[in-house]
Amino acid sequence: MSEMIGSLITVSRKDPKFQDYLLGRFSKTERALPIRSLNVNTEAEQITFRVVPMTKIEKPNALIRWAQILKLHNFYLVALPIFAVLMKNWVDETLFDVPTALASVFACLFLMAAVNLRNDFLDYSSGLDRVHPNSGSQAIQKGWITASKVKTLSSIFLLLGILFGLPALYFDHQVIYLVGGLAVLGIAGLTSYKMGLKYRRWSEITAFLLLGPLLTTGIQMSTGSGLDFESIMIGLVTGWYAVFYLHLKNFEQLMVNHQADFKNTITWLGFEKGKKLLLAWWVIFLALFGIYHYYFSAMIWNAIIFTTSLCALGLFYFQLRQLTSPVGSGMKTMIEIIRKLSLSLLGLWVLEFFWYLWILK
Amino acid sequence: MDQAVLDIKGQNLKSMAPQNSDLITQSCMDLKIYDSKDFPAYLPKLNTLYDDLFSGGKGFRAKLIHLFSTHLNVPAKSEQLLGQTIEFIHNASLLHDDLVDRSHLRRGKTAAWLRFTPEYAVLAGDYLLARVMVNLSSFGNIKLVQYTAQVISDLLEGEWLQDSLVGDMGLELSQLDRVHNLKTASLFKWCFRSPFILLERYEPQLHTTLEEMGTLLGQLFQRSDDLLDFNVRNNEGKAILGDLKSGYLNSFGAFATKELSLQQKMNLRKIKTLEEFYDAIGGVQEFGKKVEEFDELNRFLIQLYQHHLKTLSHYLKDDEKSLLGKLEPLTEILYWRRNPS
Repeated sequence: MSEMIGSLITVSRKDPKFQDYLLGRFSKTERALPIRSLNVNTEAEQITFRVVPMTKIEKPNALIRWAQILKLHNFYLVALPIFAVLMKNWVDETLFDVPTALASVFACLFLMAAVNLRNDFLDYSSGLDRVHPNSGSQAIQKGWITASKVKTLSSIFLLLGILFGLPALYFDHQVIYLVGGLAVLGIAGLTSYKMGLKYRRWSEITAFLLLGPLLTTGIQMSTGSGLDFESIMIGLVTGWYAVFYLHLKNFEQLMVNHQADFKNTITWLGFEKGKKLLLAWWVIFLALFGIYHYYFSAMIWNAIIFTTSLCALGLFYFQLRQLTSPVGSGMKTMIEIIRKLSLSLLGLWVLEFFWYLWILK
Repeated sequence: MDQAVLDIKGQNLKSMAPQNSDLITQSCMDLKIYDSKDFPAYLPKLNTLYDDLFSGGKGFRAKLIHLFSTHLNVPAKSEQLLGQTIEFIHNASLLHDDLVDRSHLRRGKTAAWLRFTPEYAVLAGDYLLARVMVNLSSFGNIKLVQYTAQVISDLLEGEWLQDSLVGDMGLELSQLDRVHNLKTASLFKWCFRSPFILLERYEPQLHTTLEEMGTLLGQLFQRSDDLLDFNVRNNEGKAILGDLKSGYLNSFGAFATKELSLQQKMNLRKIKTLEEFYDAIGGVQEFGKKVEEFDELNRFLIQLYQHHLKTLSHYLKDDEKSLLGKLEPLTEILYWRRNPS
């Protein structure tokens, strides 16, 4: 038994070895897997690690491992708005500068990877991912990669993102305003970052802009066709959805966040009002989705989206009403259904773009 | 009834750890946890209720306090205060708990809410908590008052949460752990930390370690108690399947049924006998396998507890280190319910 578990070591924040164990720099042949974190986010923080030889760490194949480390499952948050803007321009035949647009797409994907990794690193080192058993990629906690390597990788992806973003900057000087906006948000985020982007209230605005209007207008400009209302509208829909996703995640973790004194809008509102916020956010998301379709979609898609949205609203309301406890199994079921529901709606949107392509070509 | 109903000489320990009654009661002094003189004579019903409530309890938490007090040289009067405090809080929680769960029996007798009406049970529980605050604030250690208030608050939060989980057959062990951490472990944590707070020893690292040890012990105690409900190591002959019959999936129940479909889990509500439960999870052999896996999981908690014992030794003075030897076998008693070798 003890061989399987490895040796245990407890270190406190004041201990000079704390950072070495936390970041995985203490040994080249062993990994320290955090198993209990106490008083996180305070001076009295104490972590008990299980020290395991690297050869004994169970890992899935490299593909699955890297997909999890990079959190590929949430790349759709950046991929969808990019896809929508590019498809719109393809259908409208306004894709004037394909190489620059492609470079911008890669820049966005690299930046998303950088943000995911940095977020994972900060959430892990702040303690957030250590108190949430299912939060983040869990790659560091499982010993697949050290925290310090995650940080380094994040910097590499950031650099790649900047490099790939340079062509857009060179060909369209207006992009500098977007980059400036991004930089301000980034610097503000990193300097006041304690609990990870998603755990500070202002971060909801950041997520909204970065995965919404800033992203879509940036991609739109990189296509060489200039700014338009439709790309802003796409950004409003995707940005609003990104924040909804954030609220949903925070709602799922309401109790643990509250106990660990991690602040966000949901912990501020509490369970019942949090449910109301989710409902309101969902209604506005559906409204934005509807407005976009009213202005830019074919009649048939207007009808499909309207009907689906009504069903989605009813189902969402029913699920929220059913939920009575923040810790029971009902929470997991509800979150699962709502995630599927929202992904189905977004999936319909993707289908709609392919439909235009098929009809028009 | 003007004499002590419960002393902690250990007469009742047999039911907890057969042949081990002296383990945490060696050189034990008489400690009156409950004396009807402590309560107003003009409230006869309240006194009758308390006489009934305090008789028959094991007073394990007070014994834990005694263990710490003996090795840390806590003055007898202060020890009395701590022992009384923890037993008052615990018994107040039982009064409320029985009412919330609509349990008819407590310690083999009619539960207070049935015998005296629900209103009296609530008032009697509240009064005990109020007495705790009166006694502690008279003592004058504000940190002890503050920490005790926090523990009571945690306990009640746990009660609220647990009530919201009744009928939820899809529960996971980690979700139950959160409730048990508030409800059961908070009192164990208090037993570990309060003697040090009373002695004005506030080192943060010491308290973090004590808190963790209390959490682990509370978790192990709860899980072992939950196993009793499935007649595992049920030396005391406690009534079985009580939790499941009242629609509450306990920690072992959640662990043993984690692979069942939601529909199968919903069907657990209809179970009336242990045999039906065996069938529901795939037979008696599968049940045995689940118990072994559950024990294996808890061995890890025991290992963690032992690890923290070593950490605790760094914070104890030389003449206090004998405490470690007394704390070590607690997992044997509380989880395995056996006499430590």
